[in-house]
Amino acid sequence: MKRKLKYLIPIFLLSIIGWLGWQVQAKIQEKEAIEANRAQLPAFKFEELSGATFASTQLAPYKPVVVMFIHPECPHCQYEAEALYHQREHHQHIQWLLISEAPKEQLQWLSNTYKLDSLPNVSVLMSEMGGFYSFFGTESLPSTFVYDSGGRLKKYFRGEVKLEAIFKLFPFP
Amino acid sequence: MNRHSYFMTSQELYLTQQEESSFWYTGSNWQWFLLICLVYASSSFINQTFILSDSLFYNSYGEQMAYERIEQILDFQAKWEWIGYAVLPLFISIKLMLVALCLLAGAIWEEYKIGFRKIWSMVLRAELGFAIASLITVGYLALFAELHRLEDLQTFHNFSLLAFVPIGEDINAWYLYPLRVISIFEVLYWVILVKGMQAISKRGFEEIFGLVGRSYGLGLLLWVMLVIFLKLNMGI
Repeated sequence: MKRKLKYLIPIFLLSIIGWLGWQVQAKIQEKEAIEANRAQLPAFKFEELSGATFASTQLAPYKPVVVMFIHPECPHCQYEAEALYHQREHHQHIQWLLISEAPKEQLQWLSNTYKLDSLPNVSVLMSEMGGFYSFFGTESLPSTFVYDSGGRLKKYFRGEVKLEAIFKLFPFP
Repeated sequence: MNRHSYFMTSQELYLTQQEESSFWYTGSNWQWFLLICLVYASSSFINQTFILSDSLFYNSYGEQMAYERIEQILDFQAKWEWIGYAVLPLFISIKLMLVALCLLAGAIWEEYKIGFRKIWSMVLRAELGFAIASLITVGYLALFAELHRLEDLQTFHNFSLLAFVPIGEDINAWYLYPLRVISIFEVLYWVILVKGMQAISKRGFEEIFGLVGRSYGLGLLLWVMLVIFLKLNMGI
């Protein structure tokens, strides 16, 4: 019995290492596939605060798109939402999608507090858990993907970003 | 009963005296723990004061973030810097405990008669190697490295296999961590652990090298796999 137990422990440890290795391999492949997919604006569907479905096909053609993954409780995200309203005159040529996995009430609060509902080129969208990740391959808060008018990924910002850094990518509106 | 059961032979007495005067038995565990905490705290202080300068943050985030926001983050960091020092003994204890448990498992597997206390004392002294390595790293970074951005720090090879691998744009790539683990310091640490285990078990180098490989080596492999797994799944 004791002898059997002696061999069971290393077998158990090696099994965990093997399982982790297998998971890591699968995750790397999944990430690579998502990263290749997001190089061009993916065909996604999210939910608007009104309950309607918002599909990527509804985006106006030939206009830059900025996709932000946010959470209403995240201070960096609040800063970005505030900046969007304050600098509204400077980004009317850009379509902004603020996507979150937070509950509807919190997103409604963010939208009202920072008057995002008054900006026609800004959409606050809800994603189910893991939904954003399946299209964009990240769950870091905040994450910002900037797409040019041809739908090609121009820049990915991890963490807070000032709007000027995004405007710089489109010198001419 | 045999006379030897009561009295040590002169050779045994000589060996015991030699053992007690060797490096692995000097000082108390508390003194060693304090010394190691002090060395790590010193390298942390050098890191905070001379390496992680404000200009490094401004250079790194200036293009992406507003000046006043970086300022706020730096103020916040300065305010809570003491927490890093406060939790240092806890992190050191956890690390030492994990290494000691791995070696204890190896010793039990090989049916050696060594208690946890002896292994813990040895691991505690061996940690001085890593603590000095952290001082060498920060000393090198502060005096010789050309640091312009935080990315330069994140991709610093630290005398590891990373020195031989070209680093792409993704400084958070999953493979950077395992490459950084295999360093000159890690190899030296293995040698120190083998020497320490040899001293407390009185066994040959090859036998103990195998034991350290099967116990600490397996533990390290598990740790590295776990970190890569978390990095990939949590985006850290």
